[in-house]
Parts: sequence; structure tokens; C-alpha cells
Amino acid sequence: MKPCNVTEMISSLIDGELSPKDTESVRQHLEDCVICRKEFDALKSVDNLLRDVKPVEPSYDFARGFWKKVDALDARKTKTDARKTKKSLWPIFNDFSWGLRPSLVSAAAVILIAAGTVIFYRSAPPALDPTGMLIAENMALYSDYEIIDNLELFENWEEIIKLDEI
Amino acid sequence: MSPRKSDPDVQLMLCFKDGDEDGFRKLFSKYQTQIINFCFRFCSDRQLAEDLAQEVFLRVYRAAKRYRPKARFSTWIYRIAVNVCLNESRKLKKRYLTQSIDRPFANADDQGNRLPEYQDENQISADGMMASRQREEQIKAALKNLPKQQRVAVVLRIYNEFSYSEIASQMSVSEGKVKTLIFRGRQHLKQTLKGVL
Ligand SMILES: [Zn+2]
Repeated sequence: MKPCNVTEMISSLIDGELSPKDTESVRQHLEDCVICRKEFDALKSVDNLLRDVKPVEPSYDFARGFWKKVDALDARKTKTDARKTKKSLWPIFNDFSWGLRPSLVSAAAVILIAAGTVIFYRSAPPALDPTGMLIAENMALYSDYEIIDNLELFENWEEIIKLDEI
Repeated sequence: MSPRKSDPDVQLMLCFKDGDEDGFRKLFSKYQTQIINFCFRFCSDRQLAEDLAQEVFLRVYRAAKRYRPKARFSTWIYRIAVNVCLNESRKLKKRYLTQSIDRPFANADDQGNRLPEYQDENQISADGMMASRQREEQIKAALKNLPKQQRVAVVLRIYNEFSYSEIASQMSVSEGKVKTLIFRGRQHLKQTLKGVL
């Protein structure tokens, strides 16, 4: 049989989401229409059935597990922050590395100049002195943590240092 | 004073934003059971539900610095819970599958350590218990069978009794859409639960 056009409103009526006027007219319809009354009862039963499912309690280690994850996150963040600082300050302040690893120094220079050149050719207006711009860009690279951090070239530095230590 | 300013949970979250971790601990203990249950009703898997709930609280914890109360705290945390359930449950489930292949007995062990889901079992006769357990399983299966969005809307409405406008905000959809999702969800459940009704 074709359902009445109030079927969707029955669901809203159960949830108390109809305007007073609509509530009144749907209630009136329910008194007159057996099919819709049956629908109303069936949907009410669905709700009651669902509410029969008892809630669960948190397991004994739920909170502990949560704080463990917080600690792990904090540890990862500290490690990342430390790596960021180390990475961005390394070329200037880590004189020890500069002194003992000439191969690394030259590798660093090559990478910095290459990176600087890429940035320069993308962004420099043609009228400026290319050499001056190149130096400026490289100086900016030294001091700007964000740029250095975002340069994928530098992601490999830890690997390069490890190779040098072997 | 706007309702969200007078919401004590918003105040607790603002305390946490100012560095008082006690505010967060109070919110955690107040909401842990209901968020676990929301996730559990969404995924029907006890362990997955707890992992999802932990993810919800991690996001609350990390969001503190950026927190600006625009709604009741409960609306906000459920918005996160909806997001986590809709987007993360599949990823986590995948991880479980890999883990259980790697460590076939780990999950079984874990189950044994958990609290029973049915608390007053000993008060019900064995037969009655079996029947009620079976019915619960049927209901869970019916819920799980619903399309995800319908399931979320139905759970938020029937178990948490949120209004359509709150659910709309939690799900980032219109109120009209919420009305339709709940209506279709109920129709769907009526069909699948025919034998139990
Ligand atoms: Zn009718």
C-alpha cells in the first residue's frame, strides 16, 4: 500500500523536532490512519530495542593507555623539535663537524649553493646582481629554520653523518 | 552570558587551555564512558572503540591551545568523535588485522583482561541471558549494517539524545540532512530487526 506523506514526519515527531502546528496535524493523522499508527509504534519499538543494549564500562587500562599515548606524542614532539633546532643551527654552530669532516663541509656547500640557486632563479627579479642574490639567499637559508626544515635535501643529513661515522 | 560561556565543561577546557591539566583530567573522567560507548555503538568492537575514544581525547588534548568555544563542550567533543569514527576506524581496523596475523594470541589474551560487557548477568537465568545476549548481538549487527552516516546520526539521536541542530553541527551537515538520515536509519533498522520487534 502507498505510504502517506507524513511518514518522514513520524520520525521527527518521535524526536520532538516538529513545530507545534505540524505536531498537532501529525498527531491528528495518527488517530485517523491505522497504517501510520502502526509505523509510529514500529519506530518507537526500534528506539526502545536499541536502548536495551547496555552501555559498556571503560576497561581498567583505558586511562593508562591514553596517558601512555600522550607521553609517546610528547616524546616524539621533543625529538622532532630537537632535530629541527639541530638541523637548522648545524651549519653555523657545529664547528666541530666543520673541522673534522671536510667531505661533509664540501657536500654541504654544494647542496646549499644548489638550493640557493634554485630559489634564486625562481624568485629573483632579473635586474639584480646574481652573485649578491645568491649570497643573500644562502645567508637566508642559514638563518631561516622553516626553509631549512622544509628542504628535502636536508632530510638526508642524518644519514650522511652516519655514513661518515662508519 | 551566552550558553556556551556558562557551560561548566567549556570553562574546564578553557582552564586546560591556560595550562591547568586538572581541567582536562576532569573532562576525561566525565566523558570517557560516553565517548567509548559512542564509538562502540558505531563499530561494535570493544577494543577498536577504546582506541577510537583514545584518539578522540588525544585530539582534544592537542587542540587545547587553539580551543575557542563556539558551542557547548559536548557538541564539540562529539564533533571530534564523529570525525574520528568516520575517518579513522577503517585505518585502525586494518592495523588490527596486521597485528592479529603477526600475534595471533595477543587479542584473545587482551579480551580476557577486560571487564565483562554485561554486568548483571548473574541475576538473569541462563536462558534469559542467552536470549538477551542474542538479541543484543542482533541489534549490534543491525546497527553495523547501517550506512555510516545513518549510523552516526541514529546513535547520536537515540543514545545521546542530541537535537537535530546539534547533530547537524557534529556531523557538519544540514538539519534537513540529519532528519533524513535518522528517518532512513530507523526504516532500515525496522527492516533488519523485523524478527526481534
Ligand atoms: Zn497515514
